[in-house]
Amino acid sequence: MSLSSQSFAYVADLVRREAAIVLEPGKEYLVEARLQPLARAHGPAGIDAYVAFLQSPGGYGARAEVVEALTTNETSWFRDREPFDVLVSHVIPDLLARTATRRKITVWSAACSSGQEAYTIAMLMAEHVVPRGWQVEILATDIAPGMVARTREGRYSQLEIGRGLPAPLMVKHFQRVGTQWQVSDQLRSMVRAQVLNLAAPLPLMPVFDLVFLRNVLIYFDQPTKRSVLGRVRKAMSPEGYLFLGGAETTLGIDESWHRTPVGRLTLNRPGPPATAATGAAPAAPAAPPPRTFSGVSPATRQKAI
Amino acid sequence: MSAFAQESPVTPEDLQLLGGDVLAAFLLDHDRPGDPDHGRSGVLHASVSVRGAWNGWITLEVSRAAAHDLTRRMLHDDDVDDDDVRDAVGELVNVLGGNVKSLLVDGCVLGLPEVTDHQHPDQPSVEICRTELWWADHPVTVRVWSAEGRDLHSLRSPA
Amino acid sequence: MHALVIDDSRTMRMMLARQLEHLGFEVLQAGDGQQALEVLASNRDDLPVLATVDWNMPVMNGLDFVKAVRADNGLRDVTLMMVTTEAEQGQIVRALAAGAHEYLIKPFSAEAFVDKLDYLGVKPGRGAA
Ligand SMILES: C[S@@+](CC[C@H](N)C(=O)[O-])C[C@H]1O[C@@H](n2cnc3c(N)ncnc32)[C@H](O)[C@@H]1O
Repeated sequence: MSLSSQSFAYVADLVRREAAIVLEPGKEYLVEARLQPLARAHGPAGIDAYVAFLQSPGGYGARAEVVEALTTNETSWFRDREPFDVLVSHVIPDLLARTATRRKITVWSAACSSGQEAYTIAMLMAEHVVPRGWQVEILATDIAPGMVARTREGRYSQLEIGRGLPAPLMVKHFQRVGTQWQVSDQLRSMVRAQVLNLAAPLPLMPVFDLVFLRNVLIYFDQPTKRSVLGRVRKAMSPEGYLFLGGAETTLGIDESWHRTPVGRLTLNRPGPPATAATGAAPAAPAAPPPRTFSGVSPATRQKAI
Repeated sequence: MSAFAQESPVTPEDLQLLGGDVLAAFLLDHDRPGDPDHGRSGVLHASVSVRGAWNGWITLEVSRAAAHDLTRRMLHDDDVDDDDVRDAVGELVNVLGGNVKSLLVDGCVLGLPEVTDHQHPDQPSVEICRTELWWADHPVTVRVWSAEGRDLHSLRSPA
Repeated sequence: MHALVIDDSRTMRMMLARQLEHLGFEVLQAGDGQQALEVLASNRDDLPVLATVDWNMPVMNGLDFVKAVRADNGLRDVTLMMVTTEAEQGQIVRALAAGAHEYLIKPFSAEAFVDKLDYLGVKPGRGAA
């Protein structure tokens, strides 16, 4: 049972229109593998018949399922490590200094998949920010409703929990429930999850101090990358920070960002770097501190306020 | 705990899920399994005990042919002997047993795995849960046995 | 750079050793905690940077091994990672309190194992040679 080129073209076009995800020719195997279970559940007539059904007026709901099935939701805790080391060593101290009067930090995990990124941030905030009396709000969004539901639920299998989450943090923030691990109420209360398409105009949102837009631009074409980066920039405080994935950059796409290297990482900021209003935010870019065992550098490493 | 109301703390769905995770983690679900060697006959019985606040066994039965094939894959080695196979099947039941134990009441101790050629003739305990995982068209039967409410000293492993 | 794999199952030792060798470690093996202490004693001047430790083993179990290593100041640079089927939260807390640095529950994916090593910073080629 294989996919005709017309069917592939229809699905590629649908997914591009709805989610801006680009499926180049050559990705037929991917489309086929992801559509197969949906086609089977629909009936015995095969994958091309299913694609024909999608195009009929009755195929509306099924089209949304197809878009969701073609998202790639690969993720892990502390993904790539370094962004989270820099978050703790440089970004959080700076944000604490800048938000000393309103004592609130707003964060957006903008393609959150099943929530590991949002809860990783929540763990670090619970360690370094919340105990100082700051309020932290994390908005986690994704185009896939199933992923948003999973983020809201905050339950992970043994195999999922093992990917990148240090054991000390696992037992601190999760409770074993049957064969799964449930995130604590403390972390869950920091995270709000909602469906959001990055390729469409953004709804009304808070102004974010911190945006994680990681491993999602890679699926878009250049013009979409540019327009997404433009919209995200407008949703941010000029003094905020944007984190991108390891293979993503603003360079050559949207030159209005200010780029600051920290170690091997580049921080993107909407406005020009200014010296902190108060306190001792790091003045010059420096290499991130060495990794520490608990996954969290001691809070005393850098005096923020 | 009542002697006859053998409410299972573990469901067949739990066993399916755990079993699937075990096979996936040992990369046993990746590409198509090789044809198990049909020259081998008989069944291997592996078991591990749980003692303490809950008492019983987790057992696994698999044909020798399938067990050989499983072992070759786990060791990435085509040349495996009978000891290798027993050790590999023992480790499978150990991993399953530990995870099943974690679904039971807290405060139990897992024994060391045993692998034998025969099921013990006595009926030492009550089967409370069972599932079948499939490996290369061979069933791998996983069962949980409860010895709750029985005289533990008169019991022997069901494997 | 050495790593020590401690497990009473030969299959599990081979599987872990294979992954560690792939990462560039020279792998030592032990079938129980007592044997593992002996391996450490005879490698005093070139200690393994990492030991993966099973929990349920004959002779000396993994928890007692961890306690013994932590009680010996000369072994403080050995990073200890439990790799075990013991999956209750209370057990994980116990092992960490006894001095294990990491805890990986069987079954685990190859990626999870590498993630944890990466996180512990014990990849060969990094740190002490
Ligand atoms: C590979 S995951 C990245 C998850 C996480 N940010 C990380 O780095 O681990 C990519 C996510 O982007 C989402 N996505 C794809 N297209 C999107 C769009 N147009 N709007 C919002 N989310 C989208 C997918 O549903 C998927 O969950």
